[in-house]
Amino acid sequence: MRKARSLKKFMKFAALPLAIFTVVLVVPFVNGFYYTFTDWDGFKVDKFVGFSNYAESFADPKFWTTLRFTGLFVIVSLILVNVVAFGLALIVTSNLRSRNFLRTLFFVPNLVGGVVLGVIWQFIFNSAIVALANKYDWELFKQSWLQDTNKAFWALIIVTVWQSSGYMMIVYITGLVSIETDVLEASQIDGASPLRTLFAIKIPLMAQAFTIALFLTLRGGFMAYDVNVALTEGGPFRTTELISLHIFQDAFGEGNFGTGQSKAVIMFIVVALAALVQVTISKRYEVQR
Amino acid sequence: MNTRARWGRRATFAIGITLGFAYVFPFFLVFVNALKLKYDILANPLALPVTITWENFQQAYTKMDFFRSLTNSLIITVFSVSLLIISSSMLAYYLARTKSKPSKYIFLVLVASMIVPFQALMIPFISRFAPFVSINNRAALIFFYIGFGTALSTFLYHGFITTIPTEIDEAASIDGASDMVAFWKIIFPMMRPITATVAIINALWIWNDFLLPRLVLTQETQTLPLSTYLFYGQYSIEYGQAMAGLALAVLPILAFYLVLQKQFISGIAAGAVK
Amino acid sequence: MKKTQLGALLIASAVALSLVSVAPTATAATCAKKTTVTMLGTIKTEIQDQFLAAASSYNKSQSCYTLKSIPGDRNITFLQNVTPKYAAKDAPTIMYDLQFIPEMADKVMDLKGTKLAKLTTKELLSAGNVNGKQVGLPSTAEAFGLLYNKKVIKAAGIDVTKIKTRADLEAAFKKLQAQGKKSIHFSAIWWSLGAHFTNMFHTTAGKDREARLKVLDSLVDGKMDLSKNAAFKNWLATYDLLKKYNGSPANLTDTEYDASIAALASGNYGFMFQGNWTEPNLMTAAKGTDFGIINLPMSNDAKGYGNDSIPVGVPGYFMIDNEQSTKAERDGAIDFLTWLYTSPQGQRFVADPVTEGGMGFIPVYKGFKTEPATSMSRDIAKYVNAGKTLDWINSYYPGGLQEEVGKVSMQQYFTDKISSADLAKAIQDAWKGKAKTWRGEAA
Repeated sequence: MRKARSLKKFMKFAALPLAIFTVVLVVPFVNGFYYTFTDWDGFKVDKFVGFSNYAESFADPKFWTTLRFTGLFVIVSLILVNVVAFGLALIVTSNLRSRNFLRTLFFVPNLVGGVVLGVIWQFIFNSAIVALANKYDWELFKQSWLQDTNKAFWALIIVTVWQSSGYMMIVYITGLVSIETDVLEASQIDGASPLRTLFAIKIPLMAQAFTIALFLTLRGGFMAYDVNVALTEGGPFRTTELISLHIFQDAFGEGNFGTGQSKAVIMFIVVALAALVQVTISKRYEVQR
Repeated sequence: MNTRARWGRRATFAIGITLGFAYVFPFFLVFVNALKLKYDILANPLALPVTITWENFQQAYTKMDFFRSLTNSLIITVFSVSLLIISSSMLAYYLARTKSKPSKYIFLVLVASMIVPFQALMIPFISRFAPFVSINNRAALIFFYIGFGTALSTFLYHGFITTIPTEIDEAASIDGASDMVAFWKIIFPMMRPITATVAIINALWIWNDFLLPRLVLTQETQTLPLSTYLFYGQYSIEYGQAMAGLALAVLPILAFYLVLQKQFISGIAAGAVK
Repeated sequence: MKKTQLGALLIASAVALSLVSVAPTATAATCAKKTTVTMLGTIKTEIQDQFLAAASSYNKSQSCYTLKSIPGDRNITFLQNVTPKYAAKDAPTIMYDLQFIPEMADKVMDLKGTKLAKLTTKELLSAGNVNGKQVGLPSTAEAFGLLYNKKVIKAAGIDVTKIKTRADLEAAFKKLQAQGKKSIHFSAIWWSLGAHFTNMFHTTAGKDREARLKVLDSLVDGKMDLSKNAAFKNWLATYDLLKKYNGSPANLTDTEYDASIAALASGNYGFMFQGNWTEPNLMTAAKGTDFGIINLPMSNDAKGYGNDSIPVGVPGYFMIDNEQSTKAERDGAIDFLTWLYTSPQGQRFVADPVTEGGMGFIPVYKGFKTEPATSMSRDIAKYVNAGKTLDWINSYYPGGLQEEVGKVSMQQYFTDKISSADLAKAIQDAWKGKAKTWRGEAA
């Protein structure tokens, strides 16, 4: 009797959304996983090849350099996006009269997709900045930043920070305004400096906002594709290919669909582990306070 | 106010306004260069236009088929987001209120699916849905968005529903309301803030999405972001038209944002506190 | 010799073509049902508008077929565009590509015996032939070499017809410098370096085609030591010369293409290494200036092989799907291509200059009534008529190779990141173990 009722409720509320989710996401995922054990060439499957696609992926030195590069990109962008976003949140929650106006400006890059942003910034790095540098003799910018592996890395970071800090800012604003004012007043009466209030009171009290912002930037970092493709095109010398672009190139550029799909599975496992570690650590911090 | 605090405020203002300028400068460049000719842009991208030409906008407007693309974008975004709100709020309600092992596992699978890279799904995905896509590609795309968006939206609703006391449901069922009626009449209206979050996050994603529509849509059903890509040749780029196209594609969402700014910010904020 | 065949054909088509007149296909036949024929993308985005105009003119000219172009994406390879379509059982009927012909061979029609195949030569068909199956039909012929700004070269007192050796070229570069001009804009665009510039080595690596293909064989087998190869050393010396006199900073991204055109058009540069496909862009950028094309000398011997010739080849082939299309769709595809290249209306779209609504193509089928009108196509016609053409060995590069070489080792050498020995080794490594598809084998 109760079972029948709960089944009825399931059918009414959950069955349809779950069916769509399964059909659109789960089935192709399992399907793709199956392909990694075959000689799939993007068109058809002839035979099983066991783990050889995985063995080939791990034996590909380019895959390892890409993984390292992606790791570095995730760490640096994670730190900078969050530091900048937190700074922006502090600015727009201060007592400035222009705070609402500034908040509006900071969020604008989020309105436009990554491909479009990448194209705009490629133009800025290649043409606008170089033109300025030649006019005013700025040595550092005379050669486009996209020509040099290290500088191209920073170009990617700059655009990523510019693009996603506005969104994370809002996450932090929420954290900051959720702190009760009497706690802050108390610390002011105790004579704590603004900096001390920030580190001893504000940050610990908004740990949850950090958990969310860190998770979102971590995920965004690993999956970055649009900006990569439109800004650096993976260059110079294919040294700035992030993992998503590398998988794309492997599968479609060179026609290695088996290894491309295997690398996508490996990527999924890496992201899952990284996210698990980050959330576990952050949650522990949240509980401790 | 003491001098130190005043100086602190001035410094914050200076930093804030500089950064604010930096955040919108690229868009400013787009609008300025949209008014220039291709080889003038290449010669000096930073210069203000000497003679303003609206030709880029005219060309971009016709080539992009602006109104058709805009309509397509609107149809796809509005339908996807509305259906996502309906389906994921119901799913989240069910999962949050059913304390059973399967429901816990379903929730975990949903959360895990948020980190599946789209690359891992693309080809197997598209081959499975081919017949569906060829019948009505806009409907197919909306269906895909519901599938891909379910996880995050359900996750957001789930977090919110756990803050609503179960006594409210119980009271409704004592009054004799069926669970469907109770959900739509009582629970759903209480979730307004999180519904705004779900709507905004999904709308931004769907409006700007590139990879999936490119696989599914044709020229007649292309969205605004797809249409802006028309100006990039194999080798050569029509810079002036491309910039005008970008400007045209950005304007609708910018206008929308400026009108509904408050809702945007508070919507995303509501998502952050879960 | 093979190259004279190509020459003969182009004479026939480009100059003396009025002799062979082909009657327009009289298909007044009415059809019970209109068939839609799809084509992936167009020939290339630069002349997309002109191609689409041709398609709509075709659609109006008869009542059986509607040609429809479905958009492709220029940021990804042909294979990347086409695979999802095949997976979706939604393959386009007409496809256009060069690099991935061997991969497509088993999925498309054999076009041997079609009217168009008979109107062109074995030479022009060869890169579209796999295992004796005619997989594709050529679109046009293009050439690359040293482009020059006629005004600037004339002002510097240079006679381009006298440039036969590397030393001659250096002397010309110096004359330009003496005039306060920059000698050459040498582009680091990956496809220019990876396909066209590397071809300058491969096309001079042997005096007949078989000898040149043997070089590819030995690269694949890992038996070639490029650092000991005379043609390679000469090629490197030319590479170094262009680098030395390059007047512009390296730009490794795709924005370089437009930047290089703006540079040559500006009148600050004398030369540029590129192809005749830039001509419409150059003429828009510099109104009233003409541009010419000459050979890039590959040795210091005035009689050295290739020094008096330029590489002329087919940039792409039309293929027609045979797996997922209907008979009516395939018939429509052939009908459209035949209309495009044989009807007076279609021919105008093919051969008229870009400024007059055509695609500015050099005709590769017999029966054309339009003569090449632009300065560069006349230059090319001269080379062709004299039988002075070189192979596009890059038509035979395995899929992905030009990216691998162009985006990495060639750009690294360009920006002085690696030595010439490293470059030789990188090219050898890139070729090792690739499938040999240059004698018509499938991938």
